[in-house]
Amino acid sequence: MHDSPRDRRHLVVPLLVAVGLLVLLLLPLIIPSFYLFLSTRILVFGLFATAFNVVFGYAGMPSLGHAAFFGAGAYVVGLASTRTELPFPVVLLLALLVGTALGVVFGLMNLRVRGIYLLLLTLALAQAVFGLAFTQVSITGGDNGIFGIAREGLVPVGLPYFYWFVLGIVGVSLALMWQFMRSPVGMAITGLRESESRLAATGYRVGMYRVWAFAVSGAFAALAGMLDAYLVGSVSPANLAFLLSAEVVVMAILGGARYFFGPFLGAALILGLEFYVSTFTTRWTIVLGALYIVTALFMSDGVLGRIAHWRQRSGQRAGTATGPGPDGSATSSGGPVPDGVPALPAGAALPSMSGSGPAEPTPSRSTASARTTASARTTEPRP
Amino acid sequence: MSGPRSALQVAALTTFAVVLAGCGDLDPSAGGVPAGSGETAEGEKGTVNVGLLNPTTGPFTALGEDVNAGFELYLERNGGTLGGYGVEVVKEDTANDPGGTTTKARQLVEQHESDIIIGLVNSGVAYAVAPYLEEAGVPLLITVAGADGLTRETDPNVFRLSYTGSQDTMPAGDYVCDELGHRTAAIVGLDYSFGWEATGGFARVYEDAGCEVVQELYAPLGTQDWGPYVTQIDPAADVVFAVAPGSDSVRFFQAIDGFGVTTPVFVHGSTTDETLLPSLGATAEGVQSSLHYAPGVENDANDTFVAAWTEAQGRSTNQYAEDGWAAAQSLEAALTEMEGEATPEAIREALAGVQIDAPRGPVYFDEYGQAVYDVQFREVTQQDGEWVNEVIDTAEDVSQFYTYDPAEYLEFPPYEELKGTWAD
Repeated sequence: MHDSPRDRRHLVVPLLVAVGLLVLLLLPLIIPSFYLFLSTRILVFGLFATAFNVVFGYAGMPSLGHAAFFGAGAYVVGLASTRTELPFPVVLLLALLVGTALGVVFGLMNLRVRGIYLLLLTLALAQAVFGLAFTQVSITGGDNGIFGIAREGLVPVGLPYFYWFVLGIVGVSLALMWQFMRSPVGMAITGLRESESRLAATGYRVGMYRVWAFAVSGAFAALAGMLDAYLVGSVSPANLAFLLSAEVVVMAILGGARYFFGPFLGAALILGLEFYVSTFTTRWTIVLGALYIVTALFMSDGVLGRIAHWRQRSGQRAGTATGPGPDGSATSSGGPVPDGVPALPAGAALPSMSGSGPAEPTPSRSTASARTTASARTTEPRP
Repeated sequence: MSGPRSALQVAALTTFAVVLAGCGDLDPSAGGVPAGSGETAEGEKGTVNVGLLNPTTGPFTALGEDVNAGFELYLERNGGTLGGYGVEVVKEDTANDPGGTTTKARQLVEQHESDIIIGLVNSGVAYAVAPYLEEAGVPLLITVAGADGLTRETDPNVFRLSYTGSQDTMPAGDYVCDELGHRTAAIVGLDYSFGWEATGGFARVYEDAGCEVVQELYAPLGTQDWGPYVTQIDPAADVVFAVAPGSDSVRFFQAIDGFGVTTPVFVHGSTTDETLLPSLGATAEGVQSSLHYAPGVENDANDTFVAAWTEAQGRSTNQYAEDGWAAAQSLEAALTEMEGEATPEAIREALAGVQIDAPRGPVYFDEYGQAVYDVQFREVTQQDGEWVNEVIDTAEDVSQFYTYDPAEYLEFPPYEELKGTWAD
């Protein structure tokens, strides 16, 4: 059966990945320096959004405080590079440590809250970190922030080298997170979203996995913040601001929070659009706002979710699609998640919020499982 | 989202967004030379690319747009050329975000090949962008951002036409103490760097003049209820010195008015800005302030500016519009001195020696790139039914160090450390 679509897919996917990687590697030789700067920033925010999705898309916890991790990582660089002579590996370790520690704090504080209350509590915690940076002027520079962060000694001078450096770190981080989500702990974190009460009934200590999710997410978000500080050359309270927390939520939803690479795509789309549209009109915020509304109304499963949906529909029309969808996202899943793909059940793109709003795209897609998950989460008494 | 109905909704929403977006293009707001259109006016000496980097979205939109409009108004009146060079303007939005603005600054320099960047309102943004521009060798002319530390290096790449945080309040220290005879003052400021610098500048000079600060109150940025602060003001103080620009100003004066505080109030000029006066109305009547500009300044340059601005905008001039106008004037003066290709390096050198007669009065840059100008003392009065800042006195030739020796002044601890120590 050498020509079966499935076998061909086995060849096509690695080939596409290889070509994509090659293009990414050769990018500095192809595009002008300004676009390289933008591309580097997209990589950084892609990492940030992917890290955020560990808590949001996988664990099903709508955090609105992730700027705290990003900013913390950035401030580590700001303080380390302007006040100390610490070598880069130490700074990297510090950023990871601070991100993890902050993640553990966030996780512990959010052990017993769900849905909108978790959203508010994470927001409050992040605002506390923001307030700290804003008021501790002698350390953080207050509202002016820390500036003049140099990359000297990190990589050879020149943006291309730094781009490759970022590409390497982002690549390794994504691989680590991908692997983590497939580990027993990662699977348990996904279980939090599917049914926390069932997970608890099976004997899992659900609280620990909530902390795990925040810790891992915080560590990689801080890493992204670190890279951004090196790239931009400055840190300010804007790196900790509520706006950034909200933006990363939108990135994850727009790209598709059910998919590992969805948030990365969302980050690329939003940064690209922000840059592109703002070059043409002062009302660029309106265009982006309209885009967010359209996303929330008609594609709460994100770009990747839409693509999967269309591919599945065209497949059904051709009468070939049986069982799992083309990319393995089991659309009728009640059973175990297929190996290698931790997809949400269809229609549950906005965990914890999917049952509460008018965000359901069409009745046919809002599967019963999403409804029960959502209602179980809110109504069932805690063990 | 299948079906014609939802498709129609998407189409309608998209059309709505595009139409709205189309209303706000990046063309010059005063109808000058269209940005990036390639229709740059011919100059006999060549062309120069100017990047206007101001907020056109976010909390400082009104300020950024007035700076842009002031710059473009001057350019338009000169037929799109300055000092013999055709000027191509590209405008970008800072959106009040340091990271995003760094991206935009790179775009202006690397893609549009801007020879000079003009603008910036937020000091945090200015601090973030300045090192990159220095590295790229492109001069930066700041028009609003006020942090003292931005202009502290000699042979600078950064020039600033607007005030440093303390520059406009230092003369007020002498004026309030000696001229107005208020011997004790209570300070009310916003609790962030501009608040500390503006109140600190006043306090330093006021105390050096032999008067005494008896109280310091700092309220967070965006304080909704000023009652708790206003009611704390020591009734024994002869004067309240306040720094509360923007929306805080309106609520501050409402509280002053509402709680019946009768102590005279003296403020940093941005607290009774021309953009705020219509909202302040009678609550600010009689309030005195110090600022480097007032629409009532009497000189030819200001007459021209006020006439042109009022015709184009139909409202009063203000410091931001004047900053933009004066920026165009400074650039013109620099370009007039130049021959040959307008490189960033040549502009930087020429700008350092510029002397202009701006609407605010004579202006030149000190060796740190900071403008030296006259500071106006103003009082809110009603004229022909409009609230205006009437000029009551002037302090001439005020530098960022006022009467202090620059070397000595630079040794002082920063104002953020002195905050809270003035009343001791």
